[in-house]
Amino acid sequence: MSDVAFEQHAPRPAAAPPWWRRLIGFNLLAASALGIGGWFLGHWVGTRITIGMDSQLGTDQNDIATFMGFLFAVSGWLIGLGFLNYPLGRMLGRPPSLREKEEEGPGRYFRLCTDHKVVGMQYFVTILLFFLIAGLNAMFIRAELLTPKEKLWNANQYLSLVGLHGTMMLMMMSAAILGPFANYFVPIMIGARRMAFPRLESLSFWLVPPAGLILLSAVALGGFPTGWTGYAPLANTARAGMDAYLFAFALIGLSMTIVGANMLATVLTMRAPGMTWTRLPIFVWGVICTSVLMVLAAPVLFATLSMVALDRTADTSFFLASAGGSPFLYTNLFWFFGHPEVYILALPGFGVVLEILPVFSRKPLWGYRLAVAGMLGVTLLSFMVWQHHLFVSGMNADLRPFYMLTTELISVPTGFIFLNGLGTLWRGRIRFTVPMLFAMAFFSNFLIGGLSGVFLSDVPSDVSTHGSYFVMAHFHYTIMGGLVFALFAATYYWLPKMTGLRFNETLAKIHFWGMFVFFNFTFAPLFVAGMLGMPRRVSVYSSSLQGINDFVSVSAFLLGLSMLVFLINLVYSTVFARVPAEANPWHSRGLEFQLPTPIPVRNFERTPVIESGPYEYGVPGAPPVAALGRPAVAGGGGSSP
Amino acid sequence: MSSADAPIVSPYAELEPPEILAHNLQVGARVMAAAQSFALLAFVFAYFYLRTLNSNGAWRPRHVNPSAGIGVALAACLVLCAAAYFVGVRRLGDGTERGWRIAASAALVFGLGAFGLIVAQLASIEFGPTSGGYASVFVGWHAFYAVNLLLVLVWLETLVAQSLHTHTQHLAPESGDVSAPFAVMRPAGDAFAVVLSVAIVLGLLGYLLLYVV
Repeated sequence: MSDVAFEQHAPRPAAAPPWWRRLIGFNLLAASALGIGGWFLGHWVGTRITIGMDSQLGTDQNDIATFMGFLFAVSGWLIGLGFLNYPLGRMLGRPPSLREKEEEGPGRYFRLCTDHKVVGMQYFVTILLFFLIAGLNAMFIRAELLTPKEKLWNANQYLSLVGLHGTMMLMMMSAAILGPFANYFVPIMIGARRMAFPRLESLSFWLVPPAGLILLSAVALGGFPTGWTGYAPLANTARAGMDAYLFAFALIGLSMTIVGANMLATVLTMRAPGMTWTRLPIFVWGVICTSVLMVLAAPVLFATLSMVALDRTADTSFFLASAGGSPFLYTNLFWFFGHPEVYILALPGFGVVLEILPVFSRKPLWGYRLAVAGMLGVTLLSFMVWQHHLFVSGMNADLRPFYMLTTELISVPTGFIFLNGLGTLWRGRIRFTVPMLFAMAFFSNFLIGGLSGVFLSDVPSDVSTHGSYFVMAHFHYTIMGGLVFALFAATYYWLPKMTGLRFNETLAKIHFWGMFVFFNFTFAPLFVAGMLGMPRRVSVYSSSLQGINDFVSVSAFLLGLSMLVFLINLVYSTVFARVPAEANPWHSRGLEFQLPTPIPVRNFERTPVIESGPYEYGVPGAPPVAALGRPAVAGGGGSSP
Repeated sequence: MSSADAPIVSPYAELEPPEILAHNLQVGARVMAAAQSFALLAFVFAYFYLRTLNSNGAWRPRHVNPSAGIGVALAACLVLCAAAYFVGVRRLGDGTERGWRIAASAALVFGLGAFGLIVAQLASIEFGPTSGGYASVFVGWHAFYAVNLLLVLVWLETLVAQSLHTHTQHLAPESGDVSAPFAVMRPAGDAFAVVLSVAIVLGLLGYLLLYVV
């Protein structure tokens, strides 16, 4: 169909209703009201249907009622947002459509909106909020560890705090980069106008706030003693807070599956003409690999948590050895998800830093194909390593060498990423901007995390360090040192494009240096504490370790303070200073930076035709990355014109 | 509809060729089929793991025997659902819309029959979920599979409903943002076939493990 024909059929904009009218309808307000109402209704229904049930006799908690409450609450929340309108319409024969409520104005951030850029911003704010709550939990944990005896929290409260911190961080960080930045930029980077399934994209976001709130409700329901791993059979006997953990984590599993499926379908089907696989931005490759992991690993999490929920409500015995089950079944299933989860966190980080390095080195990305191979290698191998978490569980000793080998093997493709980074920096004209600083810190931190991981993949050394602070230090170096630093690199790199506003550079650099220094002060000594035998998840420790713990706690508080600097900068730059950012502040070749700021609702006036790769910095005669003014070409696909 | 109720449409909106949505659906269906498989295979893993361990000799006490009749009927319904659907898709390919609608509706009926049989099975089993590993997997699988099947059938119902409206409703191009919404029917039918096939194969695998082996 020609463009003229398109324009003839284009719907005419209708008059916007007054502001008060917008409060009535399917939006956050209705969602909150129906969500709260749904909780009470579901709990009441659950209580009624379980009267006289054997499983509920003799207990002071009703897990079925709790689950029903959560289920009704989330259903009410989604109904209030209008997520049922379209499917019900389709079930009655309504034709397919792709978009709704893509108007301008702040109202779109508080309702179902199919503009991927709105979803990206919704994710950014929500993830930030839960990140701060989880970070605050870390401050409480470190406050308790200032003394070797119980002081602020008793053992159960402390365990719940640790669990809440870990679960919230893992839940929210799973979408920390994909949520805000992949949703916002992947369609633009591949030259598309939308995600493949815009409503599912919005749904994936709107499942996150109830998941976070339900997880927080665990505090009011007696907490949960299992930490983020939710190990059975302890999970089978825990208080009702465990139900909150199970339901919240399952919701995140669902959201992750939807995100992954949507991203894969988008990249596979929506690429602009000329966007061949070798021209795909490396960040998009990171997103593809992460999405594969999400689609295959998160459903297993969902099923596993459902089994625990059945054990708790229907008295099945999946994980009770006394009744024909096995707790090892849980550990196997959980870590089949849990280890790929580590790479769900790391791979987007790889993508971000490799996207940023060429921009600030003014050099092409070194070894593009090697980087892609590295990411694909990590993706493949990450499904073959999960039993290294079970080395000391009493697993079959004959299996240990295989999992030791595969785990150590995964450092090879990870090493590719480091080679790509170093090769790109080599003889580059490096600009030490804030995103670049964070990207370089990523490599330094992740190196320490990766090297310490080799000790944990090795059976003899894992036996002595398992369950100690050594493990804690290791995964904080990989997840916080890797993912969170990459998250901030992405934030400083892309947020000016998303908001149209510049960050205050001085505050940003204070944030970086504070975070980098105190991150290392906080977590490096924990390797020592672990080697000295300090166990995880207990608040009472040997008094000989108080000095090291006090140093770590003070560093952690200062690390928290550096986050406060970021928050201050964010509020100052976006609310008070509001200095407009240039459309392409970094002189990047990325397609997203070739568009005006703010990026129009439909991204491109015409479907772009991609003419060269995104990293040809300093290449003489390199054509512009895309011709943005050509007439639209029907269909997606990545074939060259 | 009053002007206040009118949907606000972006001034940038333009109708999209249906091939793009068709391509989205075909790839999305395959990805979702993979996700569906991994979720259900977690229960298959549990089956083999617990059966092999046989903790406390409690994998499957003697009294744990589900109704074989319901199991056979369930498997038959699943097979008939798939068969009817594939006949329907062939009719759709031939352009015989009436044949497609009848076959797809029959598939829906068989699918709902399978769902009903699962509910009947769970309501009538003479052992409790506490009766060992097998009983746990049996209850867990059926409950999980039933929810999965219901979601698959919702999609099928959507296809049937859309197909029924093809003839009864003349759509102006302004009514949606896909330029020829019913041109998506065939690719949507093909995409759904992937999801349905995987669901049925997994259902039959469940039947084999829980009723036959």
